[in-house]
Amino acid sequence: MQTEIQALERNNTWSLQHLPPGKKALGCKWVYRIKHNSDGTIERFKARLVILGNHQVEGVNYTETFASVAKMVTVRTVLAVAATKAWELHQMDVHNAFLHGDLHEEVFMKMPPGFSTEQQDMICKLRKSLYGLKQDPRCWFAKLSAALKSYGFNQSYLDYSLFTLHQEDCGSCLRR
Amino acid sequence: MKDLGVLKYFLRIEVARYPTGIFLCQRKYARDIKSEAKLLGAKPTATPLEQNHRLSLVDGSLLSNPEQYWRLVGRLIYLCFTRPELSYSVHILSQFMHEPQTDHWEAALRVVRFLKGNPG
Repeated sequence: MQTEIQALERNNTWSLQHLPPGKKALGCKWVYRIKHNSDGTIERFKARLVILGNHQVEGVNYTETFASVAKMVTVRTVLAVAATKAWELHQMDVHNAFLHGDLHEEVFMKMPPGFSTEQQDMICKLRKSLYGLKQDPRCWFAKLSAALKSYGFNQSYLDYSLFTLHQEDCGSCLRR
Repeated sequence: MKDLGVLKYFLRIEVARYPTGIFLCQRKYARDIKSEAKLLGAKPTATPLEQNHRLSLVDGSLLSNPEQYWRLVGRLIYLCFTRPELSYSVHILSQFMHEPQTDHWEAALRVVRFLKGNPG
């Protein structure tokens, strides 16, 4: 739970302010899960703060929600090319992926359970996307593709989830 | 960011690298399907679908919980990624997504029992 709070703070996920009149703040809650290792032993206890995105209103605190998903055909093609060219294949994982996405809509959230401030009636104005919002995957994908492009990756027109990078004497390929 | 090293397991697909190529397998995923259908101890069948089935003509009772059917068939669709021999059965089963009946559910469970004999 501490690590989740730290991640939220490090990311500047929200700023505190008073609720402007006429606006509604969304609720949130903690979700606790027990993570198991592949052999069934307990790896860790995980806490995740989620916002109740099911109360979001279209046009008010979200507009676009589409986010692309890698096509299985692309996955297969990349693996086939990797097999013929004897490429090395690596995978990686981004911690708290959705917390990195920048939020453009105006979303207010009530104080998470367990948090408190000196002042009364404070609410959180979200700056970054938070797990549970409808636009989460979209925000995250926008962030990721912008980052990859800044490293020189090319986004494929055939599948927007495929990013490629060609270098001297080695080609690099990345897929979400 | 965490480097997970060489590609081993992603999107529920197990990946093994050989000098001759790449081997993909969804054995774990197939096991999850069996365990969710509570058919881990079931008797395996030799074929995924009955011969001369009349699934489109059945006139039985509608399933009271179609979600269960949607979920199972959805998972079977994904399993087809590495199991093309299931394509025909899954294609037939997906035709009844809008009004699944008990006979369709039984047919879907037969596919799961086929997986029992052919874990992949």
